[in-house]
Amino acid sequence: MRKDGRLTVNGWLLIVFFILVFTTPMNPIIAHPYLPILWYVVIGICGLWLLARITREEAGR
Amino acid sequence: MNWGSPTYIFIWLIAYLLITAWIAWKYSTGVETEEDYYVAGRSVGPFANTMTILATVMSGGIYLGTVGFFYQHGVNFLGYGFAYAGMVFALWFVGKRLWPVGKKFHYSTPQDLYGDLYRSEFLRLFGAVGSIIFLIPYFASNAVAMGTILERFAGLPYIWGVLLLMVFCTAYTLYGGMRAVIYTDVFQGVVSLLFGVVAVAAILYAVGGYPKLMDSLPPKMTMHSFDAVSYGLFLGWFVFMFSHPLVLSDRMTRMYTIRSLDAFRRNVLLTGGALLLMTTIFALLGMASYQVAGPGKPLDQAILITIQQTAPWLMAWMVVVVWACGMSTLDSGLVGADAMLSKDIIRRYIKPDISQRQLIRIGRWAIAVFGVLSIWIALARPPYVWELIKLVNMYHMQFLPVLIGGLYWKRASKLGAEVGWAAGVLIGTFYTFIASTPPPINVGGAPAAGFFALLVNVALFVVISLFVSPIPAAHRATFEEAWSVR
Repeated sequence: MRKDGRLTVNGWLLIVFFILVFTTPMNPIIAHPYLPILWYVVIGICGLWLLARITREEAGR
Repeated sequence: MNWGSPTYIFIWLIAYLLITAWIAWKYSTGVETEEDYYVAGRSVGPFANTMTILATVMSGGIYLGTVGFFYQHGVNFLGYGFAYAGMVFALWFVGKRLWPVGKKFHYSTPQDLYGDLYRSEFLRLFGAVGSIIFLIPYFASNAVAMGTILERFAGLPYIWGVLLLMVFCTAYTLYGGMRAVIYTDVFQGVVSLLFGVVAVAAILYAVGGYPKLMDSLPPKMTMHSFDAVSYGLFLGWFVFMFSHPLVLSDRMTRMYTIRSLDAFRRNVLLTGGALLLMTTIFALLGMASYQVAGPGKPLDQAILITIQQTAPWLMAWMVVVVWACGMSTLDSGLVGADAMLSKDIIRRYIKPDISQRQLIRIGRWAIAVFGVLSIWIALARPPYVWELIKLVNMYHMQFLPVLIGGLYWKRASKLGAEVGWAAGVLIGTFYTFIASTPPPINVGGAPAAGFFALLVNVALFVVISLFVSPIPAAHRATFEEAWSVR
């Protein structure tokens, strides 16, 4: 997450992830009846991918 | 065939209980030490730990209540699901420090950490006493749900459902401790999740598929609203669902039970996937219920009506799932409350030289007493069950700054943690029981007054900690040594 006092790529990705999560109710991209649930699933999968990256990074792999 | 026949449903339930009893018996062998009894010997693998987290999160009313919230609010309730997407990150960041500390110092309760890290007998004692007091009504709320559902679908008197649940669950929990809890949770979690997948497939098929379902629903169900109320709902549920697996005393212990940090890494990934699947199931079931049952039905009835109309062959399984969810939450809570009473109170303050065998024996009696107290509350059939659940949530949310601040903020202080926590609990209790108006910042739903109380708690914790001495560096170093080891 942090290296030499600076955010790593994973740290930045985590910030982007939470921005996308908290702006979901106002996100114009998903203003279609089919999309909010699909958006949730996509964000969830992206979150899992990011979590895998972060845990791997922290385990030193 | 009459799928809703009480006899048919009761046969399913008995089959489920027999399998659960067999699993509890099979996996309870070798429970000899305190670590076996309270944290399953710290030997649980990632899949079992995932299923036990999932099953414990799924409380008795989840397939009725949470699906009911999606039925009522549509996609505006998705803050609930996004919270889990965020929670797994917190689970990792908290757990990767909590697990080694728990292993090093033989922790099995949250108060072990709070009391030792902050050197605070206040947090240890009042945290444990409060958790036990607040958990007992929570146990009772599960018994109320089980009694009600058995009365309605198996034609049994309400009291039979309450007694069956409490006696059965208490018996296997006190016999096998956390081992019995975890491995019965695996079965209960799998049964519940599998039911959700089958129910979604069957109901979506019955309503003509996903696009047709979404086309048939009003925009308020399928599109996010961005007003203060809707965003409050989103944010409130986010904070609540984010916090409760980390701080509820019965759930937090899953960060002690896993066998290694590498297993924990796989555990959080599996948990994230399982929670994502679970929430998607609830969202789809809730929204399909709006289409099938129509608006205006009681929240906990919508899914039952939908299943009766579209897939009645699922009804017996649904009753079993409601029971499985209730039992998986109840058994965890019983062990959690027992550990706090036995370790945090009896060993710490009453009988420090108690042996492990005596501790487990007292713990078994404690579980029996908690069971009896829960039956006593449940038999009164309290109409305020939902209020009890909100109260439990409000109380435990207040540990969030104590936990995260303690693990990650070097300025965290004993005084800040104590004052913030106490203020949070008092404010939350005041707005739950005494105040005639809601708190200044009110998000409604399960977090209720707890959200505002948490804001005050965090502010006090941070401000006080900035002005007083932090946890002494030498003392903190003993914890840092544990979590810096790879």
